Amino acid sequence: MRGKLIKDLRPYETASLVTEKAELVTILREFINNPSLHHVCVVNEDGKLLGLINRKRLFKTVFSHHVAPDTMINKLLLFHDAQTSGDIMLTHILTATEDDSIDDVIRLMIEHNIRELPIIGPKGKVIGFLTVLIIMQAWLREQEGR
Amino acid sequence: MNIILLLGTLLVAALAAGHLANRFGVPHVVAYIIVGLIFGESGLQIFSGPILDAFSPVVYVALAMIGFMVGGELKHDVFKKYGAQFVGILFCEGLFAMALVSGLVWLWTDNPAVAILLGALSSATAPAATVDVLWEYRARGPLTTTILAIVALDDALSLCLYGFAFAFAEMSLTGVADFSSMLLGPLVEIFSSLALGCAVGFSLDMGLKFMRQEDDSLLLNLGGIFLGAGLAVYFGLSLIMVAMAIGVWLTNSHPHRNEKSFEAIKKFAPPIYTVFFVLVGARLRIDLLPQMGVIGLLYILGRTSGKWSGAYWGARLSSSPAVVRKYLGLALFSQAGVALGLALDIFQHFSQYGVAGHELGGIILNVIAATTVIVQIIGPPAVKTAIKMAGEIPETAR
Repeated sequence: MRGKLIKDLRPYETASLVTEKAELVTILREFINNPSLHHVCVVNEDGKLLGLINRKRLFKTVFSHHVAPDTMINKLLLFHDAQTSGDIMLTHILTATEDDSIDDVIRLMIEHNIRELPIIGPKGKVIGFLTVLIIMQAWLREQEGR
Repeated sequence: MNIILLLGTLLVAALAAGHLANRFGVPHVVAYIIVGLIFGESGLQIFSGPILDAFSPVVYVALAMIGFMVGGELKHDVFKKYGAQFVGILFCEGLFAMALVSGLVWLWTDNPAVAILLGALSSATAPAATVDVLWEYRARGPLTTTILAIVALDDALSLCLYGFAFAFAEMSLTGVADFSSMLLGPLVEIFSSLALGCAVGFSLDMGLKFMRQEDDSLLLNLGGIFLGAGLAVYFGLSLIMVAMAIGVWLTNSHPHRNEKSFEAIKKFAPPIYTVFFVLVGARLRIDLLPQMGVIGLLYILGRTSGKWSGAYWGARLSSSPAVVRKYLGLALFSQAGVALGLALDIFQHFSQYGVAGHELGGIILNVIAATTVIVQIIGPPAVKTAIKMAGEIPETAR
């Protein structure tokens, strides 16, 4: 994989996009209709990525009363009061561009314990998701091709 | 009895008492205070005198952790979303309680230092006991949201008020009489504490960037908090405000990354908090309670009516819905960690000023410990009544 770039791993996993104002039920339907989906991307009107919502976060929001009461109140408040995707999206997210090196991205994914990463194109638009499976498939192809 | 044996006994006894209390719907903190009472100065006297003094560092550590966690709640996002909506309620419920308690206690005791300190302590609300009830009944609605926002923020207000009251009481006890010193002293102390806390928070945040292992992060977090607390003691600043500023810095500089810091401290904290609450009970003097009964009653009266009326007027000023105006005050009665922590801080600090200081610390600690037992018992049913009357308990949870 040395010297390879992210774009060498195309095609990526398709990204599911919703706007900041999308209701929680809409996001829930996205996950139900696509069981392999792990993240929904929240984007603005221009398609720029604003944040991500994962299944776990949506689950905690829907069942907020089951989150331990001794959790920090600001977190409980967020789960309790959330109504739209903008309320629950994770905004401190890791992304990569197509020109990043695969080795760097693998290191990043291992270090932060993540299994998929949004790939960002020009103007912050989401091109797709790079998953650990896509990377391992590429590695296997490389091994078998030797 | 050696200290390790005593510590083990206390932790096991507190755990058993906590579980027993749970079965009767009594909050843990009450059980821990009672365990302290049994082992302490008013009970078996095993946990008293020099042994109690030997546990002073535990109090500092617990205070630092309380301050750090309170600071962690002061997130920019929460202020941005709820600040304007709830700031009026927050200030009114906190300041009304402080004003009424201070006024009533001053009239009765003619002691401004005791009055202002008790007033400052009265503004804190215990989040855990309050949230427990909201969650148990799956409450949802404007009142529930307001309660959550207020309990998240009002401990920080209480710490700020305490900063002023503490410096004011110290000056009145040491004989500084001029008005400018009384006003300037607390301001200098508060801003110096916040500056020190921010400096430590900044360094801690820088260091956490390089931590890869959870164990290393925990060590650095604890090291940073203890360093801040130690420097506060060394420079004569407010330990709890320094710790709060560290928490505020971390939660706002890199919220996602530093969330783990708060989770780590939270996991580490239970034995420290337990010993801390037991210490409060051990210092409690049952024989002094009849003498302090009136002050305790005035404290509860001033606090409950101050919280209730303050919440009402604050909600009215901020044009909150009718259910918030009518019932919010009922849900803010619980007090625990912050009030007890500050009371023990007062006791330890003011005891160095001779008989008058020791007496002042004793009054505050006894009043807060005894009233905590009462409001922790009446607080949760009051929260339930508030959300029930507001119609925020769904049919399925009744």
